[in-house]
Amino acid sequence: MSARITPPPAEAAAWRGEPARLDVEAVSFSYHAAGRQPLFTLEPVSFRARRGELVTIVGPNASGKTTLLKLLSGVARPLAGRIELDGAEVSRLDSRTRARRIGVVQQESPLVFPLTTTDFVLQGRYAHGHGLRLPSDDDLGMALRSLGQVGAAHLAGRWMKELSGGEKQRVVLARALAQQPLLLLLDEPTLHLDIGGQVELLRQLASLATAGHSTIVVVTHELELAAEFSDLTVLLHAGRALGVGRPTEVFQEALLREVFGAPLRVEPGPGNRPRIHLEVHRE
Amino acid sequence: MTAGKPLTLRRVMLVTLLLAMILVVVGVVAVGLGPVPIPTREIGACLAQAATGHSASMTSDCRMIVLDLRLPRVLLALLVGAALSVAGAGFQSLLRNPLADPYVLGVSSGAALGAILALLAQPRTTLGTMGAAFAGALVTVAAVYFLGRRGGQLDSYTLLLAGVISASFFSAVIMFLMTSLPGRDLRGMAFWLMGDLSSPLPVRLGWLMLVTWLTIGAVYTTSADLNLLAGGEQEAMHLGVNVRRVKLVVYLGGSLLTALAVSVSGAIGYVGLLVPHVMRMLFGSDYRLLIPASALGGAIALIVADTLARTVVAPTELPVGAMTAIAGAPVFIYLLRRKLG
Repeated sequence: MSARITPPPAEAAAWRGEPARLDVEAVSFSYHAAGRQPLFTLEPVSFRARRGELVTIVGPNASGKTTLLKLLSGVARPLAGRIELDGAEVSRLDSRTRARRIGVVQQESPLVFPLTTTDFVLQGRYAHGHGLRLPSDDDLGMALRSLGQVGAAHLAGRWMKELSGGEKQRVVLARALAQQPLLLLLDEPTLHLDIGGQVELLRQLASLATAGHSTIVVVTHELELAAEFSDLTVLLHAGRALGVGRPTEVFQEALLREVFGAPLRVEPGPGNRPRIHLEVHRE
Repeated sequence: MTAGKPLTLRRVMLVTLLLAMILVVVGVVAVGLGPVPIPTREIGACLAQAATGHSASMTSDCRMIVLDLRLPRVLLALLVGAALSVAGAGFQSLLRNPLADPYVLGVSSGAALGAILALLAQPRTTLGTMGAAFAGALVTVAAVYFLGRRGGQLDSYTLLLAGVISASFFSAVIMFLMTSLPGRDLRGMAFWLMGDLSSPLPVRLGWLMLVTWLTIGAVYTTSADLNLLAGGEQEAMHLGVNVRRVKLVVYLGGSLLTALAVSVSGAIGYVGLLVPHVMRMLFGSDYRLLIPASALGGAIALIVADTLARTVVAPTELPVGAMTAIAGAPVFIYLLRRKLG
């Protein structure tokens, strides 16, 4: 089948009039290899998210999800367009201020030297301290509270290398929470989790967003979970934003089949959330 | 006694004080050891007289053996050990590799080559030699860093290989140049290739001490950053570290410390690898404690190594680098197997 793909309007009507926390306006980017043709181009993408909202970025491999996340984190400067967080352009913030406003959970957090979970989470307090940054009681309290928030209070003081994939994921998330960020970015946090762990993590993120009034952006491959938990979804394909809006607007059967090249079926589900199924048959 | 609890200032002070006390004891014992043994009480009296300026009442043992011969050598070992250990600890975080060490990475050999080139040029000045050693160290770290990257990532194997090969290349060039330098004997060769503390000092010890401790202090100001940098540059950036500034401070500081050590003692190996490793096992890997512990531990280790080097085969002497290599090389192999195997 060949569906004509037409990007829906960048912004849903319901968002108008509300103060946006995260304002992404026509942001584009491209990677170059030493003065040659661009290797990859992210075409202008725009969206807005408010406090307490969960945004998911979905799309096939090499569609630009991680690039967009990198731009949101402020460590890379967009080619054009602007990203504002509470009115400040993120790529212009100095590294300390940025880390107090934006927390990032990367796909991998490799360790060279042994570290306890507590010391690891305390790294999130770096940007709030000065000089040697020996942990104060407040820092320690915040670290333990962050571990508690992700249901990992019992892991305090354990060695990082002794943790399972799911446990480690929670501790990494706790470190980002200890930064007390306005914006929390996660790059495929469900990668090393089993299906139960994936559901639990998304549920946790949704409640963290609501409870902490922070804005959370998650890059994920799990379409069902994105449909269920996100307030806003950005669908990327080959560097283009093909859909930006509520899950019902973005997760359309023809669009998903075309973008992912897989026999996906989308049905209306409860709570105005689309249900996505994979229909695979052996030939 | 690996640290399971977050670091406190009390702990940093306690460990520093403990190691400083061990350093003093080791230093006094080292001054006492030699062909003419000098009792501890006499050393104490001698040092007190020197400190208060009562030079008239000094014995000849005090003036000639303690103050002129052994004390400067022990103090030199102290400085070189501290400098190499802190440089090693810094490079380990910068390169995210627990096996990094000024010698293994070829930085010491690069500094030695720089110094020798300066000795060949006219006019010879001490500052010129040290500056050239510094330049040699800087160029080597940069070269090894870029050669050790594969696909934009620092690769452990490639990095070590680049270091070892640079070191052997520089050593070959040093040998070649040594033969063309007039008045250099085998001892001079050993000085640059293996490291040796027995050659006369080209600069005043006090000056060397000042620059070394200031540089160690500069590296120490980045210790909170180094903790995070060990987790990767991207991660450190997201946590608020000004990565570019920290890398520059540690890169310059580590190279300067290596250059200072090399220009007064040649290329002593494995101290920068061994000492931070032992300190990590004892006190944990937090750089806020690791740097002072490595500085003091390195000072202790090199004083012990140098005292052994001048006493085990007395009246002859071994180059101190032979002692550190005998202890360090097996540990390096062990760490390499554990890390990569």
